[in-house]
Amino acid sequence: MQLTVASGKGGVGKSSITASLAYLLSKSRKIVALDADADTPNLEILLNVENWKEKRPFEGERVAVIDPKKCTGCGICALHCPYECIYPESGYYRVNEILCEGCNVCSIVCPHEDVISFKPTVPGYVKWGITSYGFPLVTAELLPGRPNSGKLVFEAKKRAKQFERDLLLIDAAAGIGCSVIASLNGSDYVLVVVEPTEVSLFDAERLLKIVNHFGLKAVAVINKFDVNRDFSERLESHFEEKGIKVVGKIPYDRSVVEALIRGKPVVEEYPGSPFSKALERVVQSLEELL
Amino acid sequence: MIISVSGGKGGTGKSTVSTNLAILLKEFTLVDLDVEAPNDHILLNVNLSEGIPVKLFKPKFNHEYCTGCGKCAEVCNDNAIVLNREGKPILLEDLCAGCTACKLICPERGAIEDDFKVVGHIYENKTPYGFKLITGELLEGEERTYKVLLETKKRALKEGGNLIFDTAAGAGNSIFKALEGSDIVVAVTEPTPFGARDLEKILYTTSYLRLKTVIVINKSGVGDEEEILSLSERYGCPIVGRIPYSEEIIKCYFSKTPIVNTDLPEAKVFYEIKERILEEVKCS
Repeated sequence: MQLTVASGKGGVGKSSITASLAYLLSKSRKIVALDADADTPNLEILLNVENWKEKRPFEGERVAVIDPKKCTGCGICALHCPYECIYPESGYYRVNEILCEGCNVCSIVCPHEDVISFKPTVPGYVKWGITSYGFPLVTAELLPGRPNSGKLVFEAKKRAKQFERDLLLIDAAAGIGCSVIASLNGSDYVLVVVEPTEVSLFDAERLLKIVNHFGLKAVAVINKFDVNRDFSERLESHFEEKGIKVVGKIPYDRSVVEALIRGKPVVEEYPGSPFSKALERVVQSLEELL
Repeated sequence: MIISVSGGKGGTGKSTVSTNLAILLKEFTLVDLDVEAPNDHILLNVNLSEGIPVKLFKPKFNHEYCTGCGKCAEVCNDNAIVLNREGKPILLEDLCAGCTACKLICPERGAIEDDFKVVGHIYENKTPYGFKLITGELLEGEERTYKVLLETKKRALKEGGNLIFDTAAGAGNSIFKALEGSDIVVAVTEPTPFGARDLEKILYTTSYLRLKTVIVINKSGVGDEEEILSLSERYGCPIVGRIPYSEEIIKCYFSKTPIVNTDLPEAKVFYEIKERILEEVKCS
């Protein structure tokens, strides 16, 4: 069983909600959590992994290298590079190794032999550890500026599935790009987190197009619903019309930031808070679905 | 002049800062490079219209001219080309990154022709505030964020003049590409452990790119700023403004009223941020 938390828009509460969901769901099921926000993974701050049991480099990637002694400075490689990451540098050309995705274009168009070669590179890591709540957390961690977060997320998912738990709970990245698509793939349910703003709805709609495209099932949760009740009501009827069940409405609650600062899931640190009560109802609804 | 607005974490207020800065700076074109979730047009009450398609190369194989040498499949770093029983290529379109390596290596004339698929759109619209908005938008279901961003940025640079780049959440290669060449990067963050941790990734990237970077703390007052202060010191990036957490700002967001066009005391903060940014660019 795979449940993926996504939103399109960033900063709407995916990680706070995922951490609390993981805490509550782990009481009744065997779960593994996956932080698939490879650019900026933060779930570990809330789920408290003391020791990473394993940190495996993401291998198989490579970058082009231009030999400055042999390069004649013709610049044909730079003209053809689809990533536009080759730059002139005092008489020769240099590959920006951070941006290079390792395609063969520069080496094919280079008129000389042996000027351009490839070397292996590590754009990120897949790591895992046991959280202080007893279940494992797998994290995809991309190094700053590097490409291929989608492939990295696929690797991390493979690792997470090896735990053979009943439920794989994924915290996806913001956006709707390759890493989010990699996260959504194989979901039994996608939990779409949305705030009552036009911006959040716009991004959620874009996400839902992909969810539908893959034939996945989505449910929604409205976060901070009470900051704009009118819009929240519109959201509810909008989702209902589309056949998307709203499994929860979470009020704005200062304890979310407080718990974040203390590095704990809200439901553990402030069990009686409005956020926690709403989350418990979300879990009840999810349990019925799952 | 190019001002880029970034920050790492999502929802810290990048678009709020970008749109308000654009209104204050007047002679700038705002460029929404958050191509997976472009939102500036919503905050500015602009309908995106007449998109220019972003086309990504894909090979069209003509098997009649193909000798079955298999070089195209060999050279494809994305494993997007498989060979059929006669050794002739078939494209797995979803895997193709459009790099053109197959076409470049093919020794047979006419065996691989240019084809393309549309992966996104670029929109150019006038805003009600006078300045121009250029928006890059990735097509839903497509994965080539970098390509759409690259083409949107190139189009903006071609038009020239002063630009504000609003970037996406995250810190991967497309953010790196967005920030490249900026005169100043404005990193918008929030005083939480998430905000600080993601900010560091952006500061790491901009220090690698040797870009002048300043920090804006949004939702100031909700948490502890200590970590952000120490990052500011460590990377030599001054804090140029603190936007308070305020109900009024949230109301502006809902009603799509730019804060700088109100009489709210919060508007003053944006004026100060604008002045500080211009000063910092002048100093460098």
